Amino acid sequence: MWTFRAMNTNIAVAAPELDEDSERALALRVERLFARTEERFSRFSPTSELAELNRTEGPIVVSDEMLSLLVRARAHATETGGIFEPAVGGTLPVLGYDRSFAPGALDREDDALASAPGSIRMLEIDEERRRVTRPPCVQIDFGGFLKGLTVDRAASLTTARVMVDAGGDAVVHGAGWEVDIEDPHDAARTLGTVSVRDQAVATSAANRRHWRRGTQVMHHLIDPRTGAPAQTDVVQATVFAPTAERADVMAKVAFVLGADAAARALEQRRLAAVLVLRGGAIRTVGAVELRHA
Amino acid sequence: MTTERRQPWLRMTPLELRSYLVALLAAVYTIAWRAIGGTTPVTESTAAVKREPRTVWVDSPARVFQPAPAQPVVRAPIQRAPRVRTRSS
Repeated sequence: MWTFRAMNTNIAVAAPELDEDSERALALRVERLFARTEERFSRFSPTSELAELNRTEGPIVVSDEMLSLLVRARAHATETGGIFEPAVGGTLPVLGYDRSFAPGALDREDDALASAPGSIRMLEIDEERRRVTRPPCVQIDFGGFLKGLTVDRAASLTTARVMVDAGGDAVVHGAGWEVDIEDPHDAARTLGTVSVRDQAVATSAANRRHWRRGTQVMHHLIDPRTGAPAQTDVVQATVFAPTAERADVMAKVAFVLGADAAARALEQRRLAAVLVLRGGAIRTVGAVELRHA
Repeated sequence: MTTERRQPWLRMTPLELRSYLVALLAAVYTIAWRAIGGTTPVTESTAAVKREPRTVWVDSPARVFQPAPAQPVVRAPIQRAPRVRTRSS
């Protein structure tokens, strides 16, 4: 297994059937893929294509890849009734998340101002001409959706049995893989383990990226209906799906909706999940067999 | 009768003394020139360069402006079966 840092997290690549040189070569290709993707689409880099889109007033011609990302993200937003919303990029800086996360780095004494979030569905996208017009209230942040998509693309670089894990957003191709789910109340503990094959997994929780703004504790999972950090009975949502892109989107949706609505939404889409509720109870949804640690 | 012994520098001839003073003045002038700078007239192009320096050194640029260091791909400790550990990140 090979590891490197990208997108502010640890990335692991393992292809146990490959010899050491081939596995390392694969890891290097994955590393370059992550680096290129981060360089072009990070909202924290002022030279990224995404930053240019976010500051351009009026129509702008975007790259094919940017167009593809916008169209895909908009499709997820529509499909989830706006609960998945990559245009909360304008809300997060207002709440204090205005730089790459590090514990304590975002804490401030002043209170956050209320903000009305925009929606990616407010973008005018001319797919034929690759021309995008952004209303001023819309600030795009691809966030975990982009990480999930990059994990999917990384795993498709080989036909061998492979695992690509980007800080909990992971894809496994082949059989015989184990997924340990972290305990959100104690990161050193494992809640339980799930055996998977040809599947992806993603987890959303507020235990790692949170900060203080005045008297309030903020986190990065915004409810687009309120423009504020989501407050529900779900403490952590782990979703299993065919792709990491889908798993990441639905993990956020499950966290924001709360346990009952999340269970309905996941069952409708035939997805499996492990939800950790306030108070520590665990609720499984769909075909998932959790072996407790 | 007293015998007065002259200091060595006082024993210099007027010609030697003049040479000594010329050398001293030349050294002082050279040091002053270097310290204060030349008096070459500033041309338009050099003035432009002085107004807008092409290179600006900043001790601690904001993080977003710092070049991302190359992250090495490193081999993790060998495990019998690599596992995924899923968590929010």
